[in-house]
Amino acid sequence: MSKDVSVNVHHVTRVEGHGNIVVDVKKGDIKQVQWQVPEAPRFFEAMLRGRHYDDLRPITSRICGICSIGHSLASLKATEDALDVSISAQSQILRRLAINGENMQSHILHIGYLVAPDLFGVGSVFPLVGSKHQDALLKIVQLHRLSNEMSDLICGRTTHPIRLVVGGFSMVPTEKQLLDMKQRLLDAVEPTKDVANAVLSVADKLPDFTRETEYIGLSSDEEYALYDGYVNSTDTGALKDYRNYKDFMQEYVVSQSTAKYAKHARKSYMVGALARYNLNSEQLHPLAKETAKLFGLKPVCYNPYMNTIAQIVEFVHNIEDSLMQIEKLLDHGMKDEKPVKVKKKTGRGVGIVEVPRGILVHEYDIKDALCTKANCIIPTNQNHANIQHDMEELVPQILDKPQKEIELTLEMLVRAYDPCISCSTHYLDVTFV
Amino acid sequence: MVLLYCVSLMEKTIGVIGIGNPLRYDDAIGIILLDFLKDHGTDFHPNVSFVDAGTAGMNVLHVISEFDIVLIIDAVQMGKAPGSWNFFSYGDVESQKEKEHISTHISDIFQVIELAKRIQKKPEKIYIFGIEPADLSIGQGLSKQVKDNLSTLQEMVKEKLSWMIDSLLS
Repeated sequence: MSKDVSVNVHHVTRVEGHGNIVVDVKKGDIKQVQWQVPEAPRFFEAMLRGRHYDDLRPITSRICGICSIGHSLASLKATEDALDVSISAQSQILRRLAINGENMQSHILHIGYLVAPDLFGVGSVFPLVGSKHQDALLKIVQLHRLSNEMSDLICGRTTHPIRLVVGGFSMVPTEKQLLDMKQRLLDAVEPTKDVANAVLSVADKLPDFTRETEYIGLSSDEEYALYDGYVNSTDTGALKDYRNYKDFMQEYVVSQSTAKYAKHARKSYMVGALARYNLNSEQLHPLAKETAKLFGLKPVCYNPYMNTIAQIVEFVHNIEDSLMQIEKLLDHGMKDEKPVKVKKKTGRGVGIVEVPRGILVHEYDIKDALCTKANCIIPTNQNHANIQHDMEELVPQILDKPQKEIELTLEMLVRAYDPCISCSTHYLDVTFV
Repeated sequence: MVLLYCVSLMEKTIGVIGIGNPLRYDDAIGIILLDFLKDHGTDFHPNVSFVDAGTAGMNVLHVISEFDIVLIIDAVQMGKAPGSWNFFSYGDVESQKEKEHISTHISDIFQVIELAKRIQKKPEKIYIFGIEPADLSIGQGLSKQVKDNLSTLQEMVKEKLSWMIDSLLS
């Protein structure tokens, strides 16, 4: 092969934030393959220093508009760990519902608005309106709405929650509201199956690419871990003490990226829905297991494009799990509990949760009720190195394809990871006409 | 028929939606003005609701399509002096970001509006109260230019919302 290929995708579309793909091939000789993250580094940790522990959760919930519940929960867990606060059984269940709501919100958004256009062969979600795929699109919109409403019910808002506080909840849903949500979740099962079948009908568009790597996520002896668990790896097994999370998430700096990269047992690892599936698939609820079977998804799956399929499987699991959690709440009867009072004012704590894109860690040092040090390890940063190494292995395999197809395949790879590069930037540029 | 028409007008709703990230200096202005309206709007019409959408991006889709008329308050780069404002309707502008390449929480709100209009057929009317930012980097607090103009911005956003209520709801 003596082909020249020059790919320079500036700001990959349909991902969160700005990332570039650069491939340079001269006469078949690969000179450069790079996943570049050129965005300015973030300094959120600095904003937490000197703040009262009650402020840490609201500030960190603004880091990301998609994972604001996850950041809130990691923040609360870190604070409560530092100050020896144990929340009630009811709060534990409600937090599981909150994390289910966020996972559903983010996954259906990614599947329906960001990845589906690739599978249906269009440039964005807009051409799907009025097309033969409109029915699937409307069901995606319906499921997205339900996910938003569940987050609203538990957290008091669709995004940037207000009811999640240190020690529990400032307000809890009523039994009537929970019963209504239960019915709506039951009603969502059929539309979810329809969306899964619509994706299945075009799943052959997902590239058949595999590269062995390490998968890291939370695991639990009791459940498919999202809210709580121990850090686990497909390569090395469980980490004994969660406070030593840095042993698993060794961050380092590379010249092509302002975001840090991460590694553990190999040169890179992957986090997110596929990692969780690979680690914990046996604990999925029955319909989620059936959905995985429908797509032929089996652990350990080394195809990163299947992350989207793992998200569909998790969406189904989140519905089933939410039904189970609501049932538990109704069985015990909702209590109008006040948040647990904080007595200790100094300590170091670590909070780890699974957010839609993978494992998220917050660590705080608190002295006399004020934060003196903070560290946040965000899932997308943990995936950058794995995207780079996937690209390095994938490019030689697809060099014989037309340039446009090479570009699309690489863009689809980045989108499969559902990266959230710029969790917080937002502004409009407008021109008046 | 006339009566029905009147009832339908009476039932129209306005959603006031603040957008922005309080962790990015002037991007906080949409939320700050929204909070001002909530705190100082006791005389507003009962069909007016206030929503802090933060950086919710595509999640705003379902929020905006709940209302007949929407007022979005947001930092907008218009090439004007920092701290100045403009009130305009959705049809008056084109976004510099490509409408067809949708992203999510950093997505151009216009893409979300476009999708809402195509799928949900609502809202009917969209107005934007845009504030020219000076600084959108990471940090808390407003820039001096925007802060110096804050009382004017508060006065003007309240005036524009009152105009919308008077002319569109009554």
